[in-house]
Amino acid sequence: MRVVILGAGVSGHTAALLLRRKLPASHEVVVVSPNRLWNWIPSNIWVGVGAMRPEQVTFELKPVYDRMRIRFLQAKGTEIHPEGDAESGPFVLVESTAEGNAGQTERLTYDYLINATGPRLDFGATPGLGPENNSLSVCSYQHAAATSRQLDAAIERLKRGERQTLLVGMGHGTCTCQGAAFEYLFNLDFALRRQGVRHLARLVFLTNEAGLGDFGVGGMFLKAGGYVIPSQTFAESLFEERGIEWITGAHVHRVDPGRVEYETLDGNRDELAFDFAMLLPPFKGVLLKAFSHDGSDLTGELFAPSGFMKVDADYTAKNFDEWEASDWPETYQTRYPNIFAIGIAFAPPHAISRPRKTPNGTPVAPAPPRTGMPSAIMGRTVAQSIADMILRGAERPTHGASMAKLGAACVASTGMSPINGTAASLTMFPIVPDHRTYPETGRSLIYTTGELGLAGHWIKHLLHVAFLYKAKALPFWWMIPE
Amino acid sequence: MIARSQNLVVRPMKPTRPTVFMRVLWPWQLLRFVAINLRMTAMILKSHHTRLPRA
Repeated sequence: MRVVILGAGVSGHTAALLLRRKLPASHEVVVVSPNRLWNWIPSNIWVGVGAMRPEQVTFELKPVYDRMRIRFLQAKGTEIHPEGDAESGPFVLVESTAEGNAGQTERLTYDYLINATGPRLDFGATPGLGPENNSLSVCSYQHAAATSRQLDAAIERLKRGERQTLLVGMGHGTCTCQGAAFEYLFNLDFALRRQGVRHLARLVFLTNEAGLGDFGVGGMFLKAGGYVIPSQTFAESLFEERGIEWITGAHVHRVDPGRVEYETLDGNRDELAFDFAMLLPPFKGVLLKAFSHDGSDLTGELFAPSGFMKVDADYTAKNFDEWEASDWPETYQTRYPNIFAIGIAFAPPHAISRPRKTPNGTPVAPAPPRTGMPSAIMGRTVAQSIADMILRGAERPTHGASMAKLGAACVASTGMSPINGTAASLTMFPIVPDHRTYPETGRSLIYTTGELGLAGHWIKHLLHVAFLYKAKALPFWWMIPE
Repeated sequence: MIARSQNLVVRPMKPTRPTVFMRVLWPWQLLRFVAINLRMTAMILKSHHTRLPRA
C-alpha cells in the first residue's frame, strides 16, 4: 500500500518517520513538501535576533528520507481526487517546486493520504503587512534571517544615539501564534539589553488578545502563593518588569512604511509610528482543491472556508458559550476514511479564546493554536491508526488525540543565554478548556503550571537539540517523545 | 504602564528583587530544571495514551 503525506512540518514529518518504522518495506511512504529543508520553527525566534544562524534550525530532508527509505518529492499538492477517476483510484496532483523541473505536475495515487500542509501565511489579509511590504516576520527561517539583518541596522542606529520604536505583535485581528510574538518580543528586549541600548528603545507589543497571557487559548489559571491567579497577571507583570508597553484587543488595518494603523476593542482607531516592526500574519489553509469521480468540485465539502480540512469535529454553528470540549476532533479522519488532516491543516471547530468584535463590527478573534507538541502527537496518532488499518485490517482509526483531552508542555523563551537567559515553562491540561470536568477554570490546576527562570532556557535549548536529533532520525530517534 | 480604573491607579504586580535573583541563581535553577522536567514528563505521559477503546 502507499501512504502519501502532504507536508513535512512537525506533524507530517513525525507521521512519516513513524509510519516508516511501523510498516514493512513492501508498503510505500511518500512525503510531498515544497521545501527542500526541514525547519525547527520554534527556534526561528532566535534566528530573528541573530542568536542562531539559519543552518542551526534547518537540515536537508532528502538525505534523511533516502536513509529512512521514504520517497521524497519536492513539490506542492494542488488537487485531491479522493474518489479517483476513470484512469485510477484516489490520487493527488502535485506540482514540482524543485530547481530544474519547477512547475512539472505528477499524478500520485494513494491508499491513505495525510494532509499536513501547515499554514499559508496570509500577509495579504492586511494591506502593507509582510516582508514583501512594510513589516518583518519570523514565520520561516528566511524571514527570520531577514528580520535579524533589519534588527542589526536598528541596533546600529540606537548605538548612534537615535531613539527607536520597535513594534512586535500580530498583524491582524484573527491571528494565532501569539506565543511566538511574545517570545520574539522578550528575546528582542534581551538582545537590546546585551547591546547596552535598551534605554534608547521603546518596545511596544500589539496583539489581538483581549488581555495579555491569553495566547489564543483563553489564558489559563495557575496556582501560586496560595491563590489561583490568571495568566494575565503574570504576563502583565513581566511586561511591567521589562518596561515594555502593550496594546491589546487590536486589529491592524494597514501597515505603511514606518506606521501602523489599528483599531482596538473599544472601537478607537489609532496609529503608531515605528522604526522596526515584526508582525505575524494570520494563517489560512494552503490552496488545495478537491474533485469527485465525475470532476465536480468537492472543495467546499472537504475544506472549511478558511482552507483548513474538515475532520471528525462538530462544525455545527453555535454561540461561544454553547461550545463543548467534545466538539473537538479525536481521530482527524475526514469524510473519506483514508484521508486524514493533522497539525495546522485541520479545521478547528471553534475558537478557544472568546471571539470579540469592535463596536464597528471588526472581528478581533485569536485563532486556536495547534502547533508544537499537539501537532506532533496528532502525527503519531494518525500514523498509529493508519498502521493498524493497513496491518491489522482495523476498520476505523484505533488512536485518538483530541486537543480537549491532550495536555501541552510549552517553553517560551524570554532571553537566550545559558548564564542569565530565562524562559517561561508552561504546562496546561487540557489544551481546550473542559468546563464540565473542570467547572471553575476549565483546566486542571494540578497539571496547569508555569514559572519563569534560567532552567526554562536550558530546557528550551535541550528541546531544540533533541527535536532536531529526532527529526534527523539519528540512532534511537524514536525514543524521544513528541 | 499605569492603568487607571474607577479613579484608582493600578499597576501590574512586579517581582521582588529576591524573586528576580532566584530566577537566574544556578543552584536553585538546577533544582527547578529537575522539577520542571518531571512535570513535563508527567504531561507527556498523560498525553501519549492515545489508543481508543474498541467500539
